[in-house]
Amino acid sequence: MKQFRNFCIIAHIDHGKSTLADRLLELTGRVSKREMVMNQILDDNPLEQERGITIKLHAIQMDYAANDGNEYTLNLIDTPGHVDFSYEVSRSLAACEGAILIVDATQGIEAQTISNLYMAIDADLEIIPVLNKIDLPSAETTIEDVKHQIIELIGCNEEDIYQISAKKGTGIEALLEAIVEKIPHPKGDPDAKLRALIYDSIFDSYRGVIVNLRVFDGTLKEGDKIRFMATDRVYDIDEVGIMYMNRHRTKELSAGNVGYLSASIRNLQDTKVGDTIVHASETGIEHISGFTEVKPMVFSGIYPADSDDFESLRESLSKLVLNDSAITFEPETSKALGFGFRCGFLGLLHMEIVQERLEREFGQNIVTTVPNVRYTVFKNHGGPVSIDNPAQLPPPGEISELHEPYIKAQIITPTEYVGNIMRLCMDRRGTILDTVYLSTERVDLSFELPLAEVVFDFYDRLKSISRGYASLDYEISDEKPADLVKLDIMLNGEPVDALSSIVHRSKAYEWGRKYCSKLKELIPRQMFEVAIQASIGAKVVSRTNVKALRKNVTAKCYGGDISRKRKLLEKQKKGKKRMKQVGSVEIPQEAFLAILSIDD
Amino acid sequence: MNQSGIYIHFPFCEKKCSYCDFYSIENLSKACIFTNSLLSEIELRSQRHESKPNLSSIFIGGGTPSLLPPESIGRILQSIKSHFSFGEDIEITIECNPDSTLLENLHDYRKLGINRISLGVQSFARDELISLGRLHTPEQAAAAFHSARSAGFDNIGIDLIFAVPGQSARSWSRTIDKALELGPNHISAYSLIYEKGTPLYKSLADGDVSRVRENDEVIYYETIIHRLAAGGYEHYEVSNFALSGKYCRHNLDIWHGGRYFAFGPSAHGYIGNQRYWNVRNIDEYIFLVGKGRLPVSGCEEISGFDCIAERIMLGLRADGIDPGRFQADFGIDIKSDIAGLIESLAEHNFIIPNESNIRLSKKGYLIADELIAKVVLAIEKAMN
Ligand SMILES: Nc1nc2c(ncn2[C@@H]2O[C@H](COP(=O)(O)OP(=O)(O)O)[C@@H](O)[C@H]2O)c(=O)[nH]1
Ligand code: SF4
Repeated sequence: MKQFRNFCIIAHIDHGKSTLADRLLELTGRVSKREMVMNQILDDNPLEQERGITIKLHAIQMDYAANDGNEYTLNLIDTPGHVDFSYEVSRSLAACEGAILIVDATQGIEAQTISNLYMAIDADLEIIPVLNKIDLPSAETTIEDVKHQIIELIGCNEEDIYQISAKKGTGIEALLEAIVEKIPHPKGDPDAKLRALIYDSIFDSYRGVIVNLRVFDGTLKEGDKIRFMATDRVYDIDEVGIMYMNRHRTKELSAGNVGYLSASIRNLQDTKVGDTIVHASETGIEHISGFTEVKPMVFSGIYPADSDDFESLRESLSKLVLNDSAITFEPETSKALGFGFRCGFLGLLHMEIVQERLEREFGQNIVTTVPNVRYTVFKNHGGPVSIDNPAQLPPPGEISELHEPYIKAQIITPTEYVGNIMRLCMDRRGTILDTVYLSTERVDLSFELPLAEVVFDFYDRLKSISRGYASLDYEISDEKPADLVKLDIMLNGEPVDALSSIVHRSKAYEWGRKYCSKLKELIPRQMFEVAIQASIGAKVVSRTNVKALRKNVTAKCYGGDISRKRKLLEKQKKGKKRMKQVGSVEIPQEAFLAILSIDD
Repeated sequence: MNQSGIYIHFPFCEKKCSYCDFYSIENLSKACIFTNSLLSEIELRSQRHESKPNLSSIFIGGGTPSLLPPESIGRILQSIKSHFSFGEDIEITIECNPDSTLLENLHDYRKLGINRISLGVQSFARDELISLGRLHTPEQAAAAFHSARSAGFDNIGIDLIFAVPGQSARSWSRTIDKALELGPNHISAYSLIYEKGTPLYKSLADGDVSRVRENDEVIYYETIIHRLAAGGYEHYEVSNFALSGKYCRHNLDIWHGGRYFAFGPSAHGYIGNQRYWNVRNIDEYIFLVGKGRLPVSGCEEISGFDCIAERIMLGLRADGIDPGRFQADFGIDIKSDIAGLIESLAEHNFIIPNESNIRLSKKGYLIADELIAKVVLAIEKAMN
């Protein structure tokens, strides 16, 4: 066990995590220079690459002959890089003894990094601070400041900070030595009863679920009968191995090592991240600490644009859940949209990813409704109920109290944007909890905010008011009572349930007005005038209309060119197909998310 | 029925109009070779069918075919005659521009069997003609019209354009007055379209001209519909009006899904179940025909739902869809399969459904594209 080093890399997007990983792989001979051309091995999902985030976790094992003459086995465990996935991050940290903290020497530390760093410190990991991109000329002016940020944060000495250029390959060997020297080897008992941590699982269409795990005690062998403690599911192991660039079968894994297993598991839900694997015959074994069931925080309706596609949408969602167990979905009906699904997501980004995958990978044409959080309704009679759809909100008369979830948000920003950010957070009903100066130029602000306010376009606003410099991280704190009302939208006098939202009373009027004018922008003119009204209960708070289409005809002589005309018709038809017919009104899909793009 | 039409595209104009995106060139020096190529094309195409197809109409368009010497037209018609058989009451139209319509030519046209003139008047307002880049004056247009009448043409159509930059309700109304005064048998009234690649499009982009406001355009359209209806003209297609049944047979056949042969560069035809279009370049055209090859640049087979979509599109743009024939041809009972839509469109006065015809109303013509898309989608859904 002494030769194992299990570590991860903590970094903000673009600070060089993938580049460093590539260099490590190259230096340890795991990949050749030539293969390196196909660069950036960790982010292999195209969507991840595009968005510059890592959604799914991976691990890679490397062999390193250190200067002390010994061979070491290094397990690099990847961590996802977005606020929506912080639980997953915490589980992959739990599989490590050390973490490399990479900070771009020209940029400084971001909120994301700090919160992950705190998680790593909490998990007792040995932190190796690294400044990357020192080859950039602009690093010269910033490097001292960034060093100080790091020293402040982790209380290390200046000499402890490694300076590298992942791109040029400078300083990588020293870093490898540091990994071996500084990161403690895993402690565990290979002869004790098996305990292994699931830090990730993915679905492989040939072999079923592949569980990525870290063995803490004991040994895991092919043929073993194992049990997942949380779900109490028992399986016979088909295959055990470690990850090089690909899976590499080893038949067994012993305490301290990181690898995978497959056991013809058909259901990803059986293998919950954070769960403990034990031998099926053993009972009374202690769970590896830190397991929580991830719960979706953001909900929205996903409907087929064409109601005939309901079953095919269900199929696609079922397939999606196979490799993203954090999604929940159940059928629901909307008067306006017909049959669809209420889906739960970890956060807004997660929702967008799911939406995009449904469209791109599964070719679904979907309508997504305004996302909302889960509320707890205390009724005058009967116990509290939790609702995840505005349509479920009982009439105001029956409600004694309404509670909504809050988050603790951490925002790190250059000082010049503090004013803007304070204003934004106050606007979003936030309260400031703490202000910590990381350096003369950077502040760490903590707020308490209703999650619902963050769901609505908060992240983009934050980015725009800070010119992209502020970074955000959050965790769910608790629920608090709030004065909320349901804002309904009526089109030509008919309420459209899928456009309803729950908003704070103080903002309802303004939102109603902006919502109406946004809808007016989005709903195209059609045969009839479309009256748009926003109401709270029976009270109309705002109204506007989309004038009837006056003229839409190509009155032109085409000669005999009917093909061109038919192509125009096809285009028009396509446009119409992307709309949802609600009563007599055609509503474009974007309109169902209109409320997200209302400016403050 | 089984009759066909022929469209001939003569790709030359004295000078390009500012709005025009039809294929034509100003260099007339190739007109002679072109005529020979055209004859070859007719020959080539005819080798493909055995018997002589029966013709109900020939339309000589362009471009400006009135620039062609009547002898050339005679040769063309002669060649057609040797490969096709002419229906008893065949309608033969030639498009003329007022500035190139000579009385003696008109007499020759009559002798050649041409029995319909389509005159490119466009407007009776001098400044509008200038901004459209037309070569003629309002007076020339009227004179050409009278010449055609005096040469004995009892079937004359004129083209008008509205929503011309700078056009006022008054000037449009005066153009209509003038048109009614002449009393053509047929009037086509097109709203101006800014086609990419035309000088007018560029002027719009550069801000040198501005579009007529949508509201005015609607009013202009409504005005001509009302005025022509009052003058006894029947509105039988989005942009077409005719006195006492003098529909343009060629167009009507196209709209009714009829077959037509097309000759000349950029011409579009529909034979068998294929729509085809010729190359849009005179040199290429001459070259290909010279090599003994058909100058076709592309074609598509119209089958399945495309047929249905075309029938609806063309029918609704023109004088309606016959539900009985529709059912016979496609097995779809429009009236019951999309009853809900038909009912609501009728209730709001967009369509006029009868036992034997479903057609657009005046109000419906204004948003024809929208309605057609709706109906086509509804039928598509009903079929699934
Ligand atoms: N100049 C310079 N650029 C680097 C260095 N390391 C990474 N980069 C560049 O920074 C960008 C982001 O790096 P990447 O490894 O993808 O970051 P990740 O998002 O943390 O995985 C890429 O364009 C890299 O080429 C470095 O040491 N020096
Ligand atoms: S005369 Fe007719 S074909 Fe020639 S340029 Fe003018 S509009 Fe076009």
